[in-house]
Amino acid sequence: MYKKSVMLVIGILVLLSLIGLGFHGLGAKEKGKANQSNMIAIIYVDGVIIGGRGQSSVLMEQGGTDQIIKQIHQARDDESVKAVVLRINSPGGSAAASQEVGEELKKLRGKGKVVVTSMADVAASGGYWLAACTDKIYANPTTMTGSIGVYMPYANWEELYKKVGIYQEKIKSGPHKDILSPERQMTNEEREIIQIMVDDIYNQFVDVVAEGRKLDKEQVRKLADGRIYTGNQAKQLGLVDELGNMYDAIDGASQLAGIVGKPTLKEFGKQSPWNMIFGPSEKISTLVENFLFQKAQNQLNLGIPLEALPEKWQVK
Amino acid sequence: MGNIFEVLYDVLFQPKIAMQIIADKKNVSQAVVVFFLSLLIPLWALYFGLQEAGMSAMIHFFIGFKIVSGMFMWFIGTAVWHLIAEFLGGRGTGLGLFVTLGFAHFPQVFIVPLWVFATLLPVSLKSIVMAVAALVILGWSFFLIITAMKEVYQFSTVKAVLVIATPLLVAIIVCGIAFAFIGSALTQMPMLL
Repeated sequence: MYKKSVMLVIGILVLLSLIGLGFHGLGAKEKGKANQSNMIAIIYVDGVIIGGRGQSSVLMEQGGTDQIIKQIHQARDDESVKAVVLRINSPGGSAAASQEVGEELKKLRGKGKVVVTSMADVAASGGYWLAACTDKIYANPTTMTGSIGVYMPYANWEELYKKVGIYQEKIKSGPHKDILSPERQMTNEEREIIQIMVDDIYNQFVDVVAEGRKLDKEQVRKLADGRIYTGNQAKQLGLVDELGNMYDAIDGASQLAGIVGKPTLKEFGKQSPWNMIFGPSEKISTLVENFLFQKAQNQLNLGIPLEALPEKWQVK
Repeated sequence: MGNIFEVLYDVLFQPKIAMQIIADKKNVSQAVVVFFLSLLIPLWALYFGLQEAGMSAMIHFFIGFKIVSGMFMWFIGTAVWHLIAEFLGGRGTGLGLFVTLGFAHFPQVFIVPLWVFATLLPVSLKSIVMAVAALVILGWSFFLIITAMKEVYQFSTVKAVLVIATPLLVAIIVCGIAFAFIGSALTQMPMLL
């Protein structure tokens, strides 16, 4: 009989604990809900800004601006997200990809969400294009930024081809179909065509900066000669609003969004253990290819703004 | 040993006698009830623990995984351990081991009162008490599994521990061999950089 009594006492103790834990859990849930209404999303823009899906594996995708745009959409659709901090650590990239993300940022702001940029080591060129589309820009005093401009890289390997005995014949549908071909000298007419295109993209870049930073276009043109600036210089020139790190940017975003108390952070694109195990990784062949290509162009140091990929338009 | 309350009392406080009788009677329905109670009650604590940790999105995954893996481990664990025990000269039955293992998980129900107790403590002590409680309960369940193995197959403690540890040892050896082969294959690949 005493055995039954002991077990009944244990049973009641367990039952009461279950009920107690239930009440405790509900309290925590309510607290969590209250915190979640003050959410700030953090979206990372790392490395060269290139359009597309980036690397993909069977289970997931990463890299490429399609992922960034997807994250912007998620932040836009999430009612609990009041503000977004765009953490940029990028030397730039393709004009079209930068423009695509920039337009999405404008749409995000149009939905009433505050968007604040935090610049890391480098936020130049295409990276600055994105920053100019946000409400407020924070940079470290030593951040490399600016580099507002466009260039189209072109290599002429004609002499090299002659030395190794390569002669390429082409049957073209039009005179400019093989424009920028590395095996022949560019004609003056072609140079003019490319220059007009570069100028057109440059003008679009200037418009974005002038509109985003509320500066006069002529003033932007004076700053936009392609040079890079430190965060400190950029603040003096009006290209950056405040000097500070990512947490200063979070505080700034919190103030702009009118969040009372400590905001809850929601990081997009953060590497989870699942990502680390099953996520896509660069193939050895791709790494070798990139290494040799960068070595050939003497551009192994990614700390400088913008790498040149000959097949892409570069914003600089 | 009468109703289930008395059986459970004996499992907690007189495990040797309890396991002998449970293995002898082979009451599968009682074992299934006790096993599911032992599985589901701690899940209540896990549910709220994950919610408090801000992992709401993963709750269903964790709970589903815990239920499926718990059942799987009970069935497959019984089969594997029974085979190893027979190789080592054990004379018990698979069903006897299955039933006793079902009861051996019972101490896990104490995780809930212990966690509730921990939530009342200061933050600095909370995680330590929770970790110690989890370890104690794990150790208690492990002790009951060893007792079950001893009583079902009439083994010594060393032999019972050997049976329980054999699948893990085999897994470690297989992984070691696999890594050795993978390692040798990798060293033969050309160095590209």
